[in-house]
Amino acid sequence: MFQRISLIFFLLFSPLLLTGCWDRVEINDLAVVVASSFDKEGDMYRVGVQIPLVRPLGGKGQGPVFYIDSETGKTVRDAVDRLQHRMSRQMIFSHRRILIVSEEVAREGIRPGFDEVARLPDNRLTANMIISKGKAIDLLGSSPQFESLSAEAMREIVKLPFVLPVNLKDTAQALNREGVDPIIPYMEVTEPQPKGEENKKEVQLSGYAQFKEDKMVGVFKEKAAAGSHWMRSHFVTYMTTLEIQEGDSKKPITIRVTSGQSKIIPRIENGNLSYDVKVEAVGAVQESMLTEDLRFEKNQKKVSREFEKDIKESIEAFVEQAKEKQTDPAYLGVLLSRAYPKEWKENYSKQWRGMLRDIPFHIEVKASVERLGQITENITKESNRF
Amino acid sequence: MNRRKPKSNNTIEELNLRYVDEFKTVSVSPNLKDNLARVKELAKENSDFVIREFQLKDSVPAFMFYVDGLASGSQVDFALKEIMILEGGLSQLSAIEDHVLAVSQMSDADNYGDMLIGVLGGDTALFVDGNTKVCLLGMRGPHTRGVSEPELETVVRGPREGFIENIRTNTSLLRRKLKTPYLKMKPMVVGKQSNTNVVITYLEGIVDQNLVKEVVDRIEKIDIDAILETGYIEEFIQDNAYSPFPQVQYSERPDTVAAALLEGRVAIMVDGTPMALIVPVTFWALMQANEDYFERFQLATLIRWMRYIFLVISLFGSAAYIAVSTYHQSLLPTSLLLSIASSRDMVPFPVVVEALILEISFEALREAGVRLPKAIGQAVSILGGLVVGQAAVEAGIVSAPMVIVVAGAGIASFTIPRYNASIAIRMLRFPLMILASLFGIYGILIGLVLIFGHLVNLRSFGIPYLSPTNPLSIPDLKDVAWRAPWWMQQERPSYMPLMDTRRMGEHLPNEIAEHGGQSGKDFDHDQSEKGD
Repeated sequence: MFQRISLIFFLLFSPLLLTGCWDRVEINDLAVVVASSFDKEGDMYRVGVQIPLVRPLGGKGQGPVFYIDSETGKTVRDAVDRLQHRMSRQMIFSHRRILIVSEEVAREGIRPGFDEVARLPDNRLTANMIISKGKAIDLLGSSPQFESLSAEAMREIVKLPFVLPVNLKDTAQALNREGVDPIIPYMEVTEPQPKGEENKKEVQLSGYAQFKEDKMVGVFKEKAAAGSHWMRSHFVTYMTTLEIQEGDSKKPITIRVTSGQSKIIPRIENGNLSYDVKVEAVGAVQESMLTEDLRFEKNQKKVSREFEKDIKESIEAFVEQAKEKQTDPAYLGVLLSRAYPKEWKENYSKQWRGMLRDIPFHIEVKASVERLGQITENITKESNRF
Repeated sequence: MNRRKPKSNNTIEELNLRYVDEFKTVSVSPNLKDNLARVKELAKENSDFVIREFQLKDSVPAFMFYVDGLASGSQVDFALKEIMILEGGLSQLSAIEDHVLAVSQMSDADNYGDMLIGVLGGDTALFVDGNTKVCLLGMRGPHTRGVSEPELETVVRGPREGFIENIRTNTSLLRRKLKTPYLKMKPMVVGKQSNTNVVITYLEGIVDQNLVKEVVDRIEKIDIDAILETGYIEEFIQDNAYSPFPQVQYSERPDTVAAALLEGRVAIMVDGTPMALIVPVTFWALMQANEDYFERFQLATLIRWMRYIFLVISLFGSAAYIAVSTYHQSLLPTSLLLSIASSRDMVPFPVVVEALILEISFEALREAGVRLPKAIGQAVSILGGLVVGQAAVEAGIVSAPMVIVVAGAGIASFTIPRYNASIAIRMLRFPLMILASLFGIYGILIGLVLIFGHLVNLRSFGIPYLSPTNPLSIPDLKDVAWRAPWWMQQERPSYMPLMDTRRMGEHLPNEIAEHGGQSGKDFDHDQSEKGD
């Protein structure tokens, strides 16, 4: 018995002598890349990385909390390898959750960059891609006040409830699929007002980059960006401000779209393709400059109608911009192929982009303002005086 | 064994006997002088042996022989008085027993072996001239100490009495729990020098007699000089002698033993220790505390689930930390990774060395706490808390997260109610930590597979160690997956071989199950008020 056990142990543990724990790395020998940026310089890529600096516990020294460096290379990994040569710690990319691609690179095509992203197991497809206005490394180098790392700030911004959730996986799927084009959050560097002393820079979401295949062709901003909320697979809340005619002047009212549902139905009648867009929306009043009391159904209806108009306009703006650049960010082709697989294959899939421009959209919006808030009118309204 | 045919007039020295057992070949001589010479030889250099010579009324010589401290002196005096002033010339021992001695416990012995076992157990031997037997008077002295609250297994709700070192008290404590003649207590004597009284106790009618026979057989085979604690027996009777897992449960609580007997287990009580052994035992039984059955079932269930979680933490906590921080850093949230990195920044050792330093010092502190007197134990805990907890972190020898992980795993191991099971878990931590440092989570999984492979192979007196989960027995899970309320535990565990499987009648449990409780059909407060 004892001999058998010792034999088993000997056999089990002798292979241990052959190992060298090759992939063993202590935490303190790691440089955790939390974000990287991609710019173009001539025909070279400039890859920037952001690495938080680890400070010993208790040593509350002032100084930078992160380190940014960049290097050029023929490929992304080439540049990373060059970077590694000046770092005492091994870079790991498994914690990279933000990839910033400059508009310049995006306009040339993001497809080549995806090779590196999916080839290495380190990289997470749940990371977020961001298109930067201007140089990507500038966005990386911004110094937002709320978070210690700009990467964290950007990640928190794209995770906010009113931002379309798009990660690398979604983008890759959109690129692989016929009948849909990706849209990706578009960010830029701004300065806070009033300016801080140290020339601090903040990051800001300013829309969604519009893609045609893997090439960026435009940006959905403001109205069109709001429209995008209705034309993607699921609804994302947002805020809008309407102007309502009251007497001679127009008075603003701000409404949050709290819940909504949109249906995009492709229809082929007599060989003509059209889309019905049916939207149901519920809004909550956030602020009203109106003098009229919203408790009255008449006034509510008026606001609701304006609300409907606003939603319709934003959807139209989105659709128009998409049509103009011959892009399909709303899964229109996918929906068509599901509803009419045969027709899609025979008539549409080959020349989809060319046809996009001429497809009519029938947009039908039913919106209501249901929640008026804790009070229904301004508490300091003149008629309240006594 | 060199058993010679003894001659009645040989001295003890000439007979060359080594163990009390061998004295059984020496018979009591009818000649009192021979007996006296032998007993005196036995008492040589034994200050606690008392020989009291006296004469019965008509000059029949006699003597009493007992061990001071074991026999009750006042009772011996009383018996002596009765014999010495007895009237009539009774010199036959049987007549004296029948007419004179007002002693309730009495037995005869016709050889020196039985006589010595009795006397060394506290009896008083009465030798009377002309008799070939000796009378053993059961006038045993005071018990070693009073029954007190068990220190190892404390409860919030439940009985406060524990076994003591005297086996007779222990059997009486158990008998008080189960007042039935079918509670059997089979006596045995183990140990050639210690002649320890061992009692094998079981509930006839519930227990499988083959199990009792197996236990008796295994204990009978033990041939050792002394049994000083139940641990001696445990190591001889367990199925797998090399396993780190205990295959025998011990308890110092009569209620725990009684509950085990009611499940058809067998208990082994040993004189001189407040512990009783319970066989067979399963892994899950070691995760159960007696109080689980006294408290409300929801609470007991919650506590059990916590124990299972803590079992995993205690076994894998440190190993998982090592694996994740040296191989799988991508598994950690970024901010946690960064804070671990910043607290480790000054630490000069690899994580595994750090973990071993802390684990070993934790074990040292625990051992020191157990072994030292209580007053000094406190000093140790302060020293340990300060030195290991704070100074080591501040000096940068270990990192704060590592202290948290090791302390967490340590505390988790204390939630396992059986000390021997928690030690088994704690021991297995070390190989797992080494495996984790060499292979990461892969290594932990190898360790897990080895441990599980061992556990499913393990048996305790033929019962699979992981019953009732492996082999799976769904009805028995009611006492493992949760602690079912008593009225749902109508059957005894089915993985045990049993003569009688039902614990209770069907009527009340069914009524409770149907109405969600006893619904007061005969006494309804509202209605009785209305009637007034």
